Amino acid sequence: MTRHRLVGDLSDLPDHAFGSRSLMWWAVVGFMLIEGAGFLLAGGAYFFLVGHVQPWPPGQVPPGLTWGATFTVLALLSEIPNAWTKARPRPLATGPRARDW
Amino acid sequence: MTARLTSIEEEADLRARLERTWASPRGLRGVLTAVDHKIIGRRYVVTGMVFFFLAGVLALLMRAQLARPESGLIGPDRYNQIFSMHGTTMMFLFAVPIMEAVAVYLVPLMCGARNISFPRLNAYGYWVYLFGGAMIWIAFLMNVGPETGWFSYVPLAGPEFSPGKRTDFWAQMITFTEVAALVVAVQLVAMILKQRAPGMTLSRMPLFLWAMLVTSFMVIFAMPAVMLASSFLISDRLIGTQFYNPAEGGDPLLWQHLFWFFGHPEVYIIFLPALGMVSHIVTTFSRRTILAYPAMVLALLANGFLAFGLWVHHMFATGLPRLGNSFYTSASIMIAIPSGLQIFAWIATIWDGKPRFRTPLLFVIGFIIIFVLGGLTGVMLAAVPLDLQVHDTYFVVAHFHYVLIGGAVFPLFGAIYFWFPKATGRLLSERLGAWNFWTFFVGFNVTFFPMHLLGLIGMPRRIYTYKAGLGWDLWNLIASLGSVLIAVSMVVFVVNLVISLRRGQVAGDNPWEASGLEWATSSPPPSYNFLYTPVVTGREPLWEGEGVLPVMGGVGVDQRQALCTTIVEAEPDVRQPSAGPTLWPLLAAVATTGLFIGSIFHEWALVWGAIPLAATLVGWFWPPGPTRRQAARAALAEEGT
Repeated sequence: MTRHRLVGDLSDLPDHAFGSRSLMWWAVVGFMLIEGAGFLLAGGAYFFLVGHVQPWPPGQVPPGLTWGATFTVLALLSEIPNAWTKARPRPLATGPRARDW
Repeated sequence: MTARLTSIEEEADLRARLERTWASPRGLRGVLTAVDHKIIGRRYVVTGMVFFFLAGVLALLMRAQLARPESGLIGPDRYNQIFSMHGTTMMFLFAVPIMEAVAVYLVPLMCGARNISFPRLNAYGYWVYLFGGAMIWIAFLMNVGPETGWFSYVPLAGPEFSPGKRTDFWAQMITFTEVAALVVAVQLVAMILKQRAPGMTLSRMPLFLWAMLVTSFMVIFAMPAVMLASSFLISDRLIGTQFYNPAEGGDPLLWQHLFWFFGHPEVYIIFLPALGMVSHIVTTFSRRTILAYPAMVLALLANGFLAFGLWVHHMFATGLPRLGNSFYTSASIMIAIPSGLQIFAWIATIWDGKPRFRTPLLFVIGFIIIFVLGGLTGVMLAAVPLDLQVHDTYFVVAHFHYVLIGGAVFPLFGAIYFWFPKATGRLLSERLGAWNFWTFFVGFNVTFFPMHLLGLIGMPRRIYTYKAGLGWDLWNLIASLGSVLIAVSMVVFVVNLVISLRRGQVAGDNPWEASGLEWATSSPPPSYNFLYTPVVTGREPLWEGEGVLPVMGGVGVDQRQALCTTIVEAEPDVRQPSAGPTLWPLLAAVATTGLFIGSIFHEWALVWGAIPLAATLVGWFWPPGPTRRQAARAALAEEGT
């Protein structure tokens, strides 16, 4: 059995933090790196293939822009709840609700 | 606050309260909702070992077929599936996951933490891995197993030459395992950077944590390549894109670049955790600190960086520009430097220490011998002329079994013998351990050494049979006999596990007198891992302080809480909530599985499958309402009074 010597107390530490002090921030950065690596490689694949065919894009008419544009607009709109959430936690930080997260 | 020893009474009280907070639910609900990293880690290790044995059985079948010329045991089509499944299972379902599995179990303990950084994500990762592995094996048993080898080159794997669904199952298995690997990687990065015990500065971090940190970053940067490659492949096969079809402007070489941009780092993703394990075993059984710790850390980092610069050495036979080949040759030879440095440091540590040759150290010695041999053939293969000569022959098969079994499986077995007592509370038998080691070591060399010779005299890999009189008969027979010895060794291992689990010597907290934090808690560790937050004052915490562990109190006892520390100095910073048991990760994994398997058959499954997945994720992320939570807490408080 290991014996313990108490050398400090951590109960004064805050129970939440934002930015890089928060664990969640690191997880989000991790997933951004994954997605970034994916996009980078997809870009690489594009440049790998683009020289193979003249003219580019090859063959038929490229697909319409409707779905791509819808997707982009949705992606941009998704920033609204992000910004909204980001604005919210500070006034609540001392309240009971912030702790529950 | 003045330092004081804790009393037995206050520890007993604390233990009871922590157990109430951290215990997993019992029964079936507990099984399905568990988020304890030890439970998930144990499942992960067991599942990985099951896949290892399954792939081993396939290897035995191949050796049985190749034991004599013109054997009619297995037909060509079945043989294709068997070698593809062997490689796929070993690489994607055993080697990478098992290393992450061990890390899922050990990293939080080594960090002195109560649970892994993202407990629910951890559970999700395991379920996705399990379902993906089950999917490919069920497909294989239904005769739709992969047939184009573990790296599935196009055009062989393309729609023209691999019709049916076999390769689609393979490509989707990739997606499953990569999702699983990536979630573990992100968790480990966050954990190792932000949740180390107070005082465990970067310069005091155990080498296994360093190894896992580098490995996790490699996973993050390498795995997207294979996901992209397999997504291109499946879309070529399913919806008629032409990424790999040269007739329509695609290029089969794109597959090779993307696959090996992942595939070569993957070898190091498997190997680096093993290096970390070896360092711990060497330190413990040599009774001294590791020699040249800073150089060891730098070597791990160098391995990580260089591993991304060598992928083209798999492609020397594709006719790339000569200058490029020279670059990749030098990069491939260069990686021998950090690897060699670590080998020398271990040898010197053992030399200078007072080695006790228990089973884990035996496996490390086996690792050093076999891995060095594999490394030498690696340097040979890095030279373009030699590579062209033996490309796709058994010489390559011999090489990568020497580096992978030598470099990862031997350390893994050492690690199992080393940490088994921590996970189960009982030691494995040393006698059976020695039998396990020697039969494995001899069997391995008898199996794989002749393959060097077979390759040099021209036997190509992946052939299902060969004609008599080519000079291959004897070496093949010897290799097959060796594989039987490996099988015997594995039986000894399983017998050892079963017997020791029931009747093994009781281990106690620290049976090896090791120095890491994981040995500071009971064996097996309680649900909350540590009674208090351990404080680290040096590189070998338990070898300091004469049996008394400095600790800190104040991290949540009646609610699940985790301590975050600063990245470099590991100073206590924040106490964050830690997620409890829930069914959502399992449901999300089921929805993910539905989406992935559905998309093998129809592209619209991506759209419709996303709806249940989104629903489960919303359920998962739904913030706990303050009223319910507060009510529960109020009820608890009332109970307490």
